[in-house]
Amino acid sequence: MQPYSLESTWNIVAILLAFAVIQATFQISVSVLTLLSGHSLGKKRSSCRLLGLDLAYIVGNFSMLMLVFGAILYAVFTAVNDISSHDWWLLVVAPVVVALVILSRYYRKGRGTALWLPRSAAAYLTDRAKRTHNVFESLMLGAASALLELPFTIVPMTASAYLMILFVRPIDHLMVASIYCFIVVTPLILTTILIAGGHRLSTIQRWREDNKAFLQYAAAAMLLATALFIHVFVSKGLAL
Amino acid sequence: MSDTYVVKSGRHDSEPFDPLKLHGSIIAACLAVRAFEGEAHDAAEHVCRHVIDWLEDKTEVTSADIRRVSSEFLATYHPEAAYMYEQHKLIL
Repeated sequence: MQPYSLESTWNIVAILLAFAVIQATFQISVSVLTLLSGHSLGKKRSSCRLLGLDLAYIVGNFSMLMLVFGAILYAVFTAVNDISSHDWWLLVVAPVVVALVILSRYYRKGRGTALWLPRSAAAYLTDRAKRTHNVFESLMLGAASALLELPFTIVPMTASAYLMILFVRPIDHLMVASIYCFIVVTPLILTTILIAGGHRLSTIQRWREDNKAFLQYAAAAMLLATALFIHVFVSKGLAL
Repeated sequence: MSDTYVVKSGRHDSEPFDPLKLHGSIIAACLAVRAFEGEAHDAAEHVCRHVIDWLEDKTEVTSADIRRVSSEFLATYHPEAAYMYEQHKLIL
């Protein structure tokens, strides 16, 4: 194992960055933020209040991501001694499976940006966004939307956690996890900046609708590329 | 109050059509795209009148019908609001 050689370090940084960017393209959190902002504007709430709700939503989302990532890191850390070198194929196969599911199931067919979520869950989140009045509720909504994304985010997060356990010094885990989660919430921050800057929600939603196929294919292609990269990385004997 | 009944999505029961509810939701859609309040009220008023005319010969419609027809009428007065109104159930 060459945990701290320059070559493997940059390879690990590239893989972690790719997983974070892939996770940032997932859309439940952005959809709920759009709904939350729409209802807030529709109820004539002030710009300050809207910004407060949006920021609380982002903090809730970020906090839940950090908690989940921490839990996965701990789980991988306790299991890492039981994982043999032959289990590396999981890091290649799991992203490929998720990429195929993204291609076939992530968006529903038809207009809009309706996602894979069961309609009852989507209706519940829509209703919660409508009933969110204070920052605490907004914080919880952000946390809930991060959790609902788990079926798709669990693979990039687990793979990242595994690579972190093997190649990143424990003292740097918190910093790397924070940067990872910050990259994941970047679309939420950008959406909030656009809304606070006076952009119309319809413009943001139209962009999302027009580019949903691009985001879907980009996420799947990046997952496939990352899986291939890991495969080459491992087969060249750099990792183990 | 109209004699037309509205069947809500995912439910079997129906409720009488309430123009005030429609008026409120059109205003909210307009405000969500940063329309002025007067503009929102005008658009909502016009759309409600059109929808009431459209319902004249109908005894039962679905809430999805109301949303579709309202967004078609709203597109004349405020296209951006119409887009958001139509998209509401399609965002998530």
